[in-house]
Amino acid sequence: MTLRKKKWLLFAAVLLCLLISSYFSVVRFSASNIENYVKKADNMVFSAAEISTSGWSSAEFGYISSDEPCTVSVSSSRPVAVNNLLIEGSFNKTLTAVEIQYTSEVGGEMQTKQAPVTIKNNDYYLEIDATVASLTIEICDEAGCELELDRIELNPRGLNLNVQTALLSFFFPFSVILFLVEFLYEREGYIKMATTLKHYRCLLYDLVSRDIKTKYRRSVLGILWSVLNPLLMMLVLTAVFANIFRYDINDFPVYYLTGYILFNFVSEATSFSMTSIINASGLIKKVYIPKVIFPLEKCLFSLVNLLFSLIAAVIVFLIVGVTPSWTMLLFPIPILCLFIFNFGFSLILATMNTFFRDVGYLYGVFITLWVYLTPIIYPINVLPAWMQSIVRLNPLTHYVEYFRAVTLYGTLPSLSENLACLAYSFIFLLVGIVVFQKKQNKFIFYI
Amino acid sequence: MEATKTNDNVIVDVENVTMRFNMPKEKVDNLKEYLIKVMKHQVRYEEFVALSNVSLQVYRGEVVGIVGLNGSGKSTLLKLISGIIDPSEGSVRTYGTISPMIELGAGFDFELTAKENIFLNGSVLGFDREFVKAKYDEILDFAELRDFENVAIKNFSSGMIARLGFAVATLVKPDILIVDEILAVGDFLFQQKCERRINELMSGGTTVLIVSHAIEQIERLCNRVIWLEHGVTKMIGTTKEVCDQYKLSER
Repeated sequence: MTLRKKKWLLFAAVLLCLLISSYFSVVRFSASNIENYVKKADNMVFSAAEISTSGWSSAEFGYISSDEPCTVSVSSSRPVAVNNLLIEGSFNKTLTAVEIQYTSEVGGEMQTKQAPVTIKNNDYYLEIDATVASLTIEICDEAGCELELDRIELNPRGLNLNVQTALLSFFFPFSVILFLVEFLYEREGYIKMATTLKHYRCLLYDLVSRDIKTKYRRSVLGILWSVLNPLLMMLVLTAVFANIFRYDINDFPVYYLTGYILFNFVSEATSFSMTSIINASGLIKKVYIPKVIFPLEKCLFSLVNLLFSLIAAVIVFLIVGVTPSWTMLLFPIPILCLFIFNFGFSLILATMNTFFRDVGYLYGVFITLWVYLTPIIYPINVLPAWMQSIVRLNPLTHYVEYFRAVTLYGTLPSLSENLACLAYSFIFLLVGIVVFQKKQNKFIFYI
Repeated sequence: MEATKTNDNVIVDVENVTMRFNMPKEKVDNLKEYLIKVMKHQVRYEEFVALSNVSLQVYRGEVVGIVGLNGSGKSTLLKLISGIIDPSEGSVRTYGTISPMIELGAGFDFELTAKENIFLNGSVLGFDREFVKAKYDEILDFAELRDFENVAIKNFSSGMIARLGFAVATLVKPDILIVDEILAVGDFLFQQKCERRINELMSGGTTVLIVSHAIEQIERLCNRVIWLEHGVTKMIGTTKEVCDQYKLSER
């Protein structure tokens, strides 16, 4: 009876989360919230009726021409996250920089931003990356400018922000509800997991120090390798990319290194954790130990390795001469989020791999794919738009970009970036705990 | 030392426990085969009942022996009591700390030295670091490995490893000590030492569960014996009653 109730609860949760996600991805962008108007010089004909729009996501114009300064404004009753914007049309001049005025709150003060324009396939793209309630785009600022404006689209291709918002706003509440429902019905197991973990923290410490001791046993340089390895990798790749492929990245060594050490953290933690249960079979069969210790230990071990690699990053930062800024102090935030993400993902992988060893082999291939789907060796804006949207769906992209933002660029990531990082971390953590807890009693029969 | 048998004194409570193992007829541990089998409805399991409806109450301070032929479910019962596996039916409750010695030196890392392994194995058994530190010398002396403190144990003989394992597992006075045929290791001097140590623990009030094929050992150490046969309790009683019957059946 209770089991059936649980199924209904989870079913209801899926529906609820679908509602939430459709609200965030559809309703917030619906046309009813939008009021479009076009400011123009006297002798120009613009008709709002000609604007066929699906709301915030796009505004289409039948025909526009101008020989005087002209601006286009859009506003909404709610703030919307906009990361870029597409202007489609033909112009008699090449647009280089366009001025955007926007407010982040309804009725708030206007901020001005000079947006750089990128041209792809004769379309103009502007990067904004802000929460916007109302927006004025100054398309041409001088007389004698002729333009035929076809379309203005916010977050073009609809995918890069909307799909992510939709996915996150579905999976985040769902993982929370899933965990709560599981907790409600199998409270004892979860409480036991938490209390035994506390009791065995000494073991955790010993296992981590064992791993560190045995990893570098018999090597002359020992733990120094954790610092040297990323440095040497960086040298090789800098040599390759500085001479063979030329990307427009300032300070390629630091750009690459920051991405590399974070990616390495993920690949190391997940691959080690994946086999941790199988490798600990000798112990698990002989002594009672909370099994969650093993993946957690591997994640902690990789975290320690990461901290050593950070020393390498600091050295390179000093050599290249990265401008120090106070935002650098925020570097633990992306690392902590990434650790939580790692741990959750590791629990899922460890569970799967215990039952099916194939997962291990598949994961090796997946890791290779994952490197290329993460902006580690290339900047994200060299990709075509559709690839960018896929890369942005990759959780690692967010952690890497966050880390670079605070350490390299000295900027504070936007609220949506923060939320994305947190949401990915907790989705994986909660799902991982539930999956692991449900299956861990069966491990012993498969190892 | 005869324990008083009141309900408050129950330290291990095994209640109508049945343990079933699903043994797939063929071993399937890759995804492709599994999916094909699922689609063909061919994942067949053969049920193997390792224990059926076994109940056992152990009282504080008792020494209980478990006898039976190979495959009668002795080790399964010990694993259930140590919490390594969960029963399919029934319940197992234990009250107090358990030191399981199902295999000596489980959790030793052969790359590490004796010293490092003592700390590692101590925390595997759930002791904290300070405690192991305090007992460290006692452990080394008991294992007679003072000279090999900083040698990686991959260079140890199996007897040395067994000694170290036993020393760590009994370093503390656990409430419940579980011993699975491990007293058969080492030379007779060490075996005697182990027995003395177990006797010491018993007089200190530790409850001990012993599995052994050496019936004389059971007779020497235990107050009470449970005899399992094919997963069913054949007899529970005082050492003398059960051992006599058991020896008769063996002939």
